[in-house]
Amino acid sequence: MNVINFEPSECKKLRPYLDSYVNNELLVETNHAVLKHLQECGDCLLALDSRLRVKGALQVAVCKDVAPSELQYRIQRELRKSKAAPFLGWRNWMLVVAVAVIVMIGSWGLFTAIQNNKVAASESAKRQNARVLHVGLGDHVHCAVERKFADEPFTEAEMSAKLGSEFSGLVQLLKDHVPGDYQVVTGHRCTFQQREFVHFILRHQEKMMSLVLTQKNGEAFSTATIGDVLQASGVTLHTGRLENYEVAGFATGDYLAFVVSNLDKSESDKIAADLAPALRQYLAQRES
Amino acid sequence: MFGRAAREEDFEVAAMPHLNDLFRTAYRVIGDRSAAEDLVQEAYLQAWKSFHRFEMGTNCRAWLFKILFHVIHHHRRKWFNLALFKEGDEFLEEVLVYEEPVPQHLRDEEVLAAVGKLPQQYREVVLLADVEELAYKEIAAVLGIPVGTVMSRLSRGRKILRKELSDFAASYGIKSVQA
Repeated sequence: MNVINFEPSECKKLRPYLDSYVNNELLVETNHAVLKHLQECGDCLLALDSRLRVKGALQVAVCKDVAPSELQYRIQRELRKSKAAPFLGWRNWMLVVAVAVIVMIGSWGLFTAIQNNKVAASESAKRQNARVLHVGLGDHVHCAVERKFADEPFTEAEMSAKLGSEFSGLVQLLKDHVPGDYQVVTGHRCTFQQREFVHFILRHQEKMMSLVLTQKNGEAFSTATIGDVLQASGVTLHTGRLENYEVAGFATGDYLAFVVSNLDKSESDKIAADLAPALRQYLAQRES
Repeated sequence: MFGRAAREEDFEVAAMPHLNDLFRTAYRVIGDRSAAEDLVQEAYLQAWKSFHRFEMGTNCRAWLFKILFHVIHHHRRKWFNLALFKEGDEFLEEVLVYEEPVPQHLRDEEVLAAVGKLPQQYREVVLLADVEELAYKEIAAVLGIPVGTVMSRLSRGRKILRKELSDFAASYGIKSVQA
């Protein structure tokens, strides 16, 4: 916008502003000055008229050019084809990347949290099972290792007397379900840390193994099936290596049963798995 | 992902009505109908690609013209390697009081021929101002030049146009109006 004060009849100063006047680009004050001059100056009025006529003729002539009808179709077709091209600008790409990063971080966080929860749950289950397995381990160490009961084998009559009619039948059960080279050397009832146990010691050369039974006192194995778990004909055996002993245990309604040995894991697990179903059935009959 | 179908519809609603405006301007600037079609198509494709930067409700027509002239200038640099000539910013001194006589009756072919003879830079401004009736400020934005340059090019372009039309009239023995 241009503001200028015109002197009367100063055509030379006015003419340059006629173009802006035609385009309505002058400020109101300047526009009034131009109009006033045009009322007084025929030459400038003719100059304005020629500009307006040329502009009008130009509009009419050029506007007769019309885009071919197929051009719009062509453009629309190309726009559709450009679908394969990325529509997103750099801002939206940045947004996509940011969202992807957030999702990845969130997923990683969720995954980590789930994993951490799994690890925590696994560790918790292992600790719980180890506490229960320590019940059987403690009695084995107390009787078989520290008091060396295995060094003084009992006769079957002694074992029957010490076990009572309730558990004397387990001697034969053991003979039936452990390898034949193992000998049942001890069968008795014992007390360790104010807790009563039914305890059998089996031996084959340097290999020594205990079957330990005790009534539950609020203990329970973890229900989580993670960690060292064996399935033996429907019996869930929890196993672990504690204080250099292999321990396997399972629970019935009232009892906890343990196989504790200095065997290697595979042999210990096999003997425990072979023994467990029959032992559970025996205990179940007592419970009923 | 970002409602492409909706954006396509928005684009077509906002941009396609200006197809004729863009085409006739491109045609008159370039002088070749087929090339103008290609340039307009390219302008629309570029507009579509950058449509996410366009604010709905603002002047889509001016925005499209800006893209069109970017495409045209790129095309001209590529194919013709035309050097852009300089012109003085001061336009007042260039304009004389004397005006070329312009015939009373102007025929389309004469007007178009006169436009065709305008130097490129003047032709662009004259077409945008007189045919498309863009404001000085919009023309400045479309062509990437100062408003003062728009004014000077428009003034010079119109003057050349009047001279060409006057010459046509004279060649036909037509008496022109003296201004």
